[in-house]
Order: sequence, then C-alpha cells, then structure tokens
Amino acid sequence: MFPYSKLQRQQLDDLVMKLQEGRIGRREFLRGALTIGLSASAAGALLEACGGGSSPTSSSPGSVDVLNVWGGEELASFEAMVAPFTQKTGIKVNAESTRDLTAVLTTRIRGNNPPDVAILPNPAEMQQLASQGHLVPLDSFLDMSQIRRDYASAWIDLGSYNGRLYALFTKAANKGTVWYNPKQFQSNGYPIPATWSDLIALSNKIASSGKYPWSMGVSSGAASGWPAADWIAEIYLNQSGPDMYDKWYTHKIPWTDPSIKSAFQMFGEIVSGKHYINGAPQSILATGFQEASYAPFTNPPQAYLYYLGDFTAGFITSQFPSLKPGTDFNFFPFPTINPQYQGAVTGGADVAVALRDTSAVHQFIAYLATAQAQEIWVKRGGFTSVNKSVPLSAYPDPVAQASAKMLTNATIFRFGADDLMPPAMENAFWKAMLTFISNPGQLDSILSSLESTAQQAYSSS
Amino acid sequence: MALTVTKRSSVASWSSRVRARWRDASVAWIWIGPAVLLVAAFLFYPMINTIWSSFFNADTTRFVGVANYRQIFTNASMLEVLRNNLLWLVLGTAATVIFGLLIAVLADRVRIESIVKAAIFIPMAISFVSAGVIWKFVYQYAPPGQTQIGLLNAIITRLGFPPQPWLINPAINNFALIAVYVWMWTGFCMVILSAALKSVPEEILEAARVDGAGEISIFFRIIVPMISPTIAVVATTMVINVLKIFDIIYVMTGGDFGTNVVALEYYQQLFTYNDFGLASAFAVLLLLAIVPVMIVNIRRFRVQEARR
Repeated sequence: MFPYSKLQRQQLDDLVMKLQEGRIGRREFLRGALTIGLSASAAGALLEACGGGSSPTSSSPGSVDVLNVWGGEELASFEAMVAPFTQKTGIKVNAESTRDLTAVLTTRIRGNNPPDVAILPNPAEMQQLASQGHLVPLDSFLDMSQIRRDYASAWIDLGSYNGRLYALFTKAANKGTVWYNPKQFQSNGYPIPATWSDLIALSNKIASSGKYPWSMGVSSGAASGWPAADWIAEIYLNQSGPDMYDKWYTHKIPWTDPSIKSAFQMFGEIVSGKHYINGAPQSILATGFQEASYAPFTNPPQAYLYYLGDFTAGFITSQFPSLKPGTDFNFFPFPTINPQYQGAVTGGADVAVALRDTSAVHQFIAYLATAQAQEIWVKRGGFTSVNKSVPLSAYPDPVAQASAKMLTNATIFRFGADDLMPPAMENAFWKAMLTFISNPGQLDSILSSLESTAQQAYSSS
Repeated sequence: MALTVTKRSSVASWSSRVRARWRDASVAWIWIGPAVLLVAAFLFYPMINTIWSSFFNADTTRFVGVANYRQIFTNASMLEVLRNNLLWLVLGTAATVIFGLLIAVLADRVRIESIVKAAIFIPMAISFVSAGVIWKFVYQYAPPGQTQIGLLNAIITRLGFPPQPWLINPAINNFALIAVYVWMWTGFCMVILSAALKSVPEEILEAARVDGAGEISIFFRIIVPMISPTIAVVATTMVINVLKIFDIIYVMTGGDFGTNVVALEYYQQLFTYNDFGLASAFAVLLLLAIVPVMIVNIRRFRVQEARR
C-alpha cells in the first residue's frame, strides 16, 4: 500500500523519534528524510507535522511545564536552580505559578492537559493523584541506586505509593523556628524562651513596656490561613505528642477532641494577647505572611517575635540584604510545651511529581534529584535539602545550617498536619483559622463544622 | 357556477401557499440549524445534566433527592452565600442604575459632557480581575501608626480617622466590593440612559418649564416615565450581570470574611471539595434566580414586537 519499503518506514520512524527527543535539528532531519527517499515537499510536511519545534506549550518536547505555588523570591531561586539544566540540555523550563494549585491542577488533569511536572506543597495530594493513576512512577526512569544513596529511606517511603516511587522531595522546610532580632534582644535584655510559659512571660514583658511583641500575617490569596494552621500543628505536636498527632490528621479522633481545642486555645493566647499584635485581629488577616516577617527587622522594629518556617530566612534576606544571619536575624526552636515531647518539630516539603511521560520530563526530574541542583538553591538561602549528599557547609550561613541540623536531628518529626489532610479538609482548616482569628469566641462551632467537613472529606478520599 | 370556480382556485392557492411556507420554513431551518445545534450541545444539554446532578451525591453515584438543597438552606455559611447574592442583587443593580441615570441627566447639561461620559465609561474597559487588583491596593490596610499604602486608608488617616480594614471587617466588606462593581458598570448604564434621554423631545420639557414645573418634578414626572422602557432594559441587564459576579470577590477576598457568593461557592465546591452534587445545586439555584428576569425580558420583547 505504501510506496516506501518497510526498511524506509523504520528509518523514518527513527528519524522522527530523534527529532522529537531533540537529538537532531530540523535541517538534519530534512537531510535525513531526503536521503531515505522522500520528496522535498513531503519531508517538509513531515517536519511540520512531527514538531520538534520551539513552541512553549507543555506537550512540546523541547520544554517542560512546571506547575508550582512559588512567587517572588522563591520563584527566582527556582529559576536559578534550573538555569544550568536549560543551558546543558537546551530544554526550556516554564514555571507556572499559582496559589490555587489544587484547582488549576484538577482542571488541567480533567481537561486532559496536565502540566509536565507539578511541585505539590502537599504529600497527601500526591497520594491521591497516584491512586487515581495520574502520576508517572519515577522509579521507571530514575537511577534508583543513586536515589537510595542520596535520600534516607524515610523520604523514599514518604514519596511512594503502593511500593512505587512517585514523588521526589525537593524543598524541605523546618517549621519549628521562631524568628527574632538578636541585637534587639541583647540591648533590651530579653531572654530566649525555652518553654511556653517563658514565651508568654517574655511577651507580657514586651507588651507592658508599650511595644508589640508579636508579628503575624496569614494572608495568602486562595490559601489564606495556612500560617495559622502551621501554628496549630506545631503546638499540637509539642503538646499532645506524635501518636495523637497521627490520629488527628488521619481523622481517628474528631476535631472536637479536647486536645485539639486546647491547641487552638493556646494559639488564641497569642492572637488575643493584650497588646501582643498591632491592629489584631484585622492586621493579622490583612497582612501577607511574607510582609509580616519584616516587622522584627525594621528600624525601629515594629515587633520582636515572628513564627514561620525556615524559608522565612529567604524573605528577610531579600528585603534587608544588609542583615547578617546569626547576628542581625536568628531563630530559636519552638518552645517546649510538654517536656515529654521536647525537640518535636513539624516541617514541610515540596514534592515534585511527573504527570507526562516524556524524555524531557525524565531528564528534568533526574536533574532535580541531584545534589548539585539542590545546592544552587541551598546556597541562595531559604531552602533545606533532604539530599544526604548536600554538605552542611553548602548552607550559606549559620542560620541555615542550624535549621538543617535541627531538621535532621529532630527527635520527633512530622509533616505539617494540614498538608497531610485531604485537600478539601486542608482548605476547610485554613478557612477555619481565619474565622478563629477574627472570632476566637466561636471556637466550639468552628470545631464542630470542621468535624462535619471531615466526615465528608475523609470518606470520599 | 362562479362559486365552484372560486372554491377550486382557493383550494389550489391554499395548497401552494402551504408548500411555499414549508419551503420557507425548511430554508430557515437550514440557516439556523447549526446555531440551534450548538446551543443544544453547549447550553441545553449541560443545563439538563447539571439539574440532574444536583439530585445526586458528591461524585454523582448515588441519588440523594433534595439533600443538597436542604444542606444549602440549613447550613449557616451557605445561607450567608445566598444572603450576599441578594445584597449584591439589590444594591448593585440599584446603585448602578441610579448613578447611571443621575450622571446621564447631569452630564446632559454640561459643556464638557463627552469628557465626563468618557471618564465614567473607562472603567468598563478593564477586566473584572484588573479592577479587583486595583481596588485591593486601594483598600489595603496597615495597623494604626504604620504607613498606610492603601489609598483610602491614607486619605482617612490624614483626615484624622483610624484606618479601616475594608476587606476584612464583615460589616463593611460587602459594600466595599459592591462599590468596585458600581465603579465599573455605572458607565454602561449611563451611556444607554443618556441615549434614551436625548430622545425625550425638548418641547415637552420647555412646555413643562413654562408651566412652572421645577427641575426635580420635571425629572420625576416627565423624564423618568418617558424613558422607563430603557430603564427596565438596563435594570434587567444589570440584574443578570450581577447574579454572575465572581472575579471581584475571588481576587479581593477569595470569598473569606463573609463575602462569598454563589458563583464562587460552587467553583470551590467543584474544584476544591470535589462535591459535584452540591456545586450543581448552587448552579441550579442561580438558574432559578435568573428565570424570572428572563421571563420579564421575553415578555417585553413580545410586547415590543406586537407593537411593530
């Protein structure tokens, strides 16, 4: 039927595959096609049809679309991290950022147009997507012996579903850090609090001298409320311990459990503390989490304490480039609440998952997993890697080193509870935090409505 | 004899008239066929599907009857969503139409009329999202004592008042959002009402002034009744427009702090909570809210057609 022999058709297939993988250029392809016996116009038509061009759409083999939630400083660091990859392979990396990642990802998957790679801030979502068959198993193309050398088995297990590896842990965060200005603490004679009661005593001391001890901001677009959820998770882990914590995020205990109520009430001590936060509660709801981190480091300082994960270091250094880590800004570990659980730390991680099975994606994920790639962002600050091959000395300053050490040496470690819940529950949790901050008196009704959401969210997942 | 001749010819001409009408009708169907098919596929079928899904559970596998509707009408936060839409409907429509009319009447009497009308109309040229971003900065709040970067708070702190969290305070944030909508759409109402105003014959107004009527009574007793069909058109268009409101709220508050509306709620139910049944129920409620407006519109078109 075809005017070309089987051998010619096979040669053509090889040629087209080489073109699509980007191994040969267009002119080489045309030359090859003419050699096989196509006419010039037929070769041109085949070239048009089989692409290999430089269009920026995600299904083009010359680029990788990466869906993520990063913006500002974090996005700039990501782009710096992947720049050497583009230089070496010529594959362009298009970073698409949105704070509403769940909605965008769901729509695109349903519309049969998934991004090539997605960086999820949420391991639970990864499990859900893997169970629905939307993810490409990474162990089908990664060098697993290298992966096992670089990553502790705990991280490989966390990224697996049904025995296959689906997620790569890129950026880990230590969420047990309270930021302060060491110079201010020294000049005012403030002690570093070791326990919760010390923390409250310090806050009262600062408040009684007419200053505002705390800065807090939870605004974050469609994800507003997550910094407050981090507070609750850290308090809960330190107060009730890892076993209760596991029961909490798997919904083995109801949201109305007294341990959860008590964690909210402790958080409420900071939110509604007398003269604790300037303009509370409206300023908490109106200020972004990045902006609020600047308050202890302005001149004169607008606050003295700020709780958020270790990625805050990146925000501080980008806003105040002249500040020296360790001397001008530093963190102390979240104070102990229950001495039985001292040293407990919550954390977060961004997991990279692959949704399209192309050679460009394979190369990109393999690159992301390497210590060299992660070292680039580590050196810029605000990034803790879980790759064992990244040396502690690569961390740019004593603050980053201390945070990485705290993460790896933690006696008890758990992911932020909100990231482990099904997305519907996580969203309800965040919005409930907004309601709680504006109206702490409504705690009981907030918890019971969270419970009714949980009953639906956990059963349908 | 004459009777049978006319009877036969009338029968012949009747059947040929029927055939002619049938020919015209079939040609008409060929022309509108594709459009009807598109409407059926992209409008009618999804509408039926949505109404059908609203009686099922979250992943549309189990029939649950009116459970979704019962949830909407008993859950406090969802009732708040409905209340917000009602607020938007009443205030949004009233404000845009009234301001549009007022500006049209006043601009009519000024020499720089075209400049005024252009200035009021320009906000219509930008998208809802851009308007949301602009006004989000205008409403920005910083605690008292710090520099106010939000324009509105900067002005009121200069005047000595404390800065207000416009988008956070549940007592005022809905009005703040409606203000953005009014800023955008007053131009539309104004332009249409201005055209209608110019069609009011000048002689009647002169005669009224000669008879001693004041400007205000001229406005209410002569102008408004004369352009009332146009006011009705504009009002129904704005009602349909405001019921769909989504972008402003999504960009400025994300539906938090008691500002959620039906369109945003079913977007969240669909994409974040994956509850198809509940999302469809909200969509059906919105449809039911629009149906009376459509009936009024269609009836008015029929009356206008009959008049021609």
